[in-house]
Amino acid sequence: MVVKFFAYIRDYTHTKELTVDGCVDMRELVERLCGMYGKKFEDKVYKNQELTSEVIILLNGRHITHYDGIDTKLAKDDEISIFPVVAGG
Amino acid sequence: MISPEKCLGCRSCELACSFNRTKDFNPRQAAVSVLTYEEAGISVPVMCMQCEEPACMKVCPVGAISRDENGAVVSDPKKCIVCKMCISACPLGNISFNPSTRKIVKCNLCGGDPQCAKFCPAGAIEYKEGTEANLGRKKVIADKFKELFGGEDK
Amino acid sequence: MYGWTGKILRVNLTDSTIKTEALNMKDAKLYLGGRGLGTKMYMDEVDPKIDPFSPKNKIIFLTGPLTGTFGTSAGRYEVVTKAPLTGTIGASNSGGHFGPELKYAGYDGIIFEGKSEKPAYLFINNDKVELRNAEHLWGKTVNETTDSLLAETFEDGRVACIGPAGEKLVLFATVMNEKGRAAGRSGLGAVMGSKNLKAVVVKGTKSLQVADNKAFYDACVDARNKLRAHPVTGQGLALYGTQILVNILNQSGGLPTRNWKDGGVFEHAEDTSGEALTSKYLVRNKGCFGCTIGCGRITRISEGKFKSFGEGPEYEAGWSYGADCGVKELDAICKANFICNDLGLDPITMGSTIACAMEMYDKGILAKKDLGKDLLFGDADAIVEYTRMTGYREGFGDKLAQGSYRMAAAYGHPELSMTVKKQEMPAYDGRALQGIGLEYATSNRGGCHVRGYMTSPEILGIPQKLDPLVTTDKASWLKIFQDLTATVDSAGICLFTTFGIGLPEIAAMIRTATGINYTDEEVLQIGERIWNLEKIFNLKAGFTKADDTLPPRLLKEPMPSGAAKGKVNQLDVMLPQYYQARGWDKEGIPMKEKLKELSIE
Repeated sequence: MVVKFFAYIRDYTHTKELTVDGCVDMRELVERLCGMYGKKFEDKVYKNQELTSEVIILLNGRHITHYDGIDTKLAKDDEISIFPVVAGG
Repeated sequence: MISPEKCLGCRSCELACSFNRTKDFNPRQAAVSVLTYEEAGISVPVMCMQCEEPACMKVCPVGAISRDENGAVVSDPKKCIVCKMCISACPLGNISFNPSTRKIVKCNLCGGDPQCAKFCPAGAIEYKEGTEANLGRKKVIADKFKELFGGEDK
Repeated sequence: MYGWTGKILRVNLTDSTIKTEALNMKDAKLYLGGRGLGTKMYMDEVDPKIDPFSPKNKIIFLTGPLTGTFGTSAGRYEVVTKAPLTGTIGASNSGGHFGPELKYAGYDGIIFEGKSEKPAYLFINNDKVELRNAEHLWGKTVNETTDSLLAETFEDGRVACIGPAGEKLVLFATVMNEKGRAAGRSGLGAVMGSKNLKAVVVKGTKSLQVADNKAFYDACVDARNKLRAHPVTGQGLALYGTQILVNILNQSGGLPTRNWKDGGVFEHAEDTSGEALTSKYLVRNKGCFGCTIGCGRITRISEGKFKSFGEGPEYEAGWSYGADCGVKELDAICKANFICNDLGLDPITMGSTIACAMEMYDKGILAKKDLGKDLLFGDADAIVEYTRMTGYREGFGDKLAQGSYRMAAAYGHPELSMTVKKQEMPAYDGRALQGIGLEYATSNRGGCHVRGYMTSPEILGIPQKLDPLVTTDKASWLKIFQDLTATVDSAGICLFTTFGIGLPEIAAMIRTATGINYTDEEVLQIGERIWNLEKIFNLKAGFTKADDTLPPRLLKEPMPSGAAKGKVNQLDVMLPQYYQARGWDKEGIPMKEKLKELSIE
């Protein structure tokens, strides 16, 4: 699966995109990313085993709230996008 | 200390200052002014720098200007005769006259809690010792040396 | 007088008379200022059926009770008149420093009536108010006009003006202040042009007072702290500006691409994103008056054929010239946006109208002989050149100057115009965001996102996340968003504050500034009152339920790809729910009881 990072999340990951294999669900993926990108990333994204309110995560363009949130199952060809909360207009 | 590179040009400092001194909103009666240079894309907040050797204090004929416990150079309205000599003397143009109150407008650091610094959304105005700010600028230069000669930053 | 100054200038351009009048405080209490009170004042004096370019039309500049105070981002003023592009009520607001300066001069607003024989500008310096000759400024761009006027009046004055587009009655001409800030939509600048009114220059040195100093200060401190602590208003908007939205809308499958025909996914979105703008061209952030957010961009393209400097682009311009025209060159997008600012054009309508022409060319409706050359999606030079030509009404620019609806209709294909009530919809596809589709269909000024920004709950999750693909609850959410927005636009603060603060904070500022003891509910009801009054204007102007609709593409052509693949907008489901939520009948006409409840006569 492909994971894409946006806005200042990129300041933590130093990459726009990453290919990951073998994550069964969103929790596993997020934990693996926290392991890879360290504390700053983790502080922004994941606290007390839950996603923070400061990120928006899309699975194939749908907000994961509309699936099973952090327990959303992932498949091999999925595309995951991670944004900080943003706005504009 | 002021850091013009951070200034948004929003003039929140002018509003906070004018309200704190007169309970009015009137940026032109503030002791701080933001000057914007459009083509250069920069705005500079200008205010009293509480000089070590204040010309305003020296020129005041009635001794109304003194330094208080916060290090601020303050004008005592009780002694001030509004002769406006201090306005002429300030080499930075940071003292003015308020035509509606008919008094001198001079920064007094709000008694140690300057409102301009408190409400600057960008951190362009900070209330701290000048030495710290210098360290920040030195670090910018040092960082450039680090980028030039340093190893991988991981 | 607290909050308001209590004075209005009335300027008759026909006979060059200027009067100062007292603000009607009964109406001010019911409609605050800006958009709401401006509409009330306008409707008291002008027949909604009027031709916008008639000398009998009037145009009102109006601030709100918070404008110029320490309130959050309280630098807004509104321009109100009948809109040339749509024929609906026209109300557009702008930030910068012009509105506060007008209040420091001692006025809540200005009513312009009649038509000047020769080009004129209004000069205001506190109590000294004069109409002055502007023949030397006619034909000049916004930047040139602003510089000239500051040089001949006050270096520290503030200028609102029109560019060549307004003079030439381009139907989507803007009113620009301080060069880079626009009362942008629906062509209000053309009404100024029709009156030979080039500009307003103001310098004010008076003071504003609020009713309860301590309580107002506390309310402002609370609201400012919340805005600075919120990740969106304290961090995201400041870092990347509004164009941060390009990628998230694109990933969500809601970024309209190539005149909306290719769905909501643009393959070059990253090239045109806020991230790219920040890393390549951003010089510095810019904040409007008293703003804690600082979403404005000062941008410089240092080299190449699109070398330029200015403010923006914002998300909407970045999209209209980018994804909507299929253009990936960010420097060309910036340049086209700067030309819009300088000539006084609305970049949403401009870019969308070029996109529409591109599709017409693609389909063979427009031929090379009409244009003199090709007009293909993705042509970076074309967006820059046609924008310039439109501002001056040169060549095919004369056709583009009518907006996409009239242009496409003239060639027999109005269905290719992505408009509601003849105004171009902005950068969120109503098939991928059902609620924003309902907003476009019901907005009182036609295709518009800033009357009820449903993107906030549907995509961004503020204040809570709604599913963008379903219609459930969208009508009732939209009503609240529209009402709160009308209040915000009338108070004189920026809509973007609502990403970080809500009704309680806004109501507290209004209450303590004005000294009127509104409850929170009454503050929200002011917005509902304004919404209904605007609706009544549109009904009197001849609009019906049939106009509360969307282009056929959104209702009939399913999304070809992305998360919303296969979706159309289900307006038929939502519209009756919306009318019901509003207390309107099946034809969308406010019922008597509702109007009585809102004290509308």
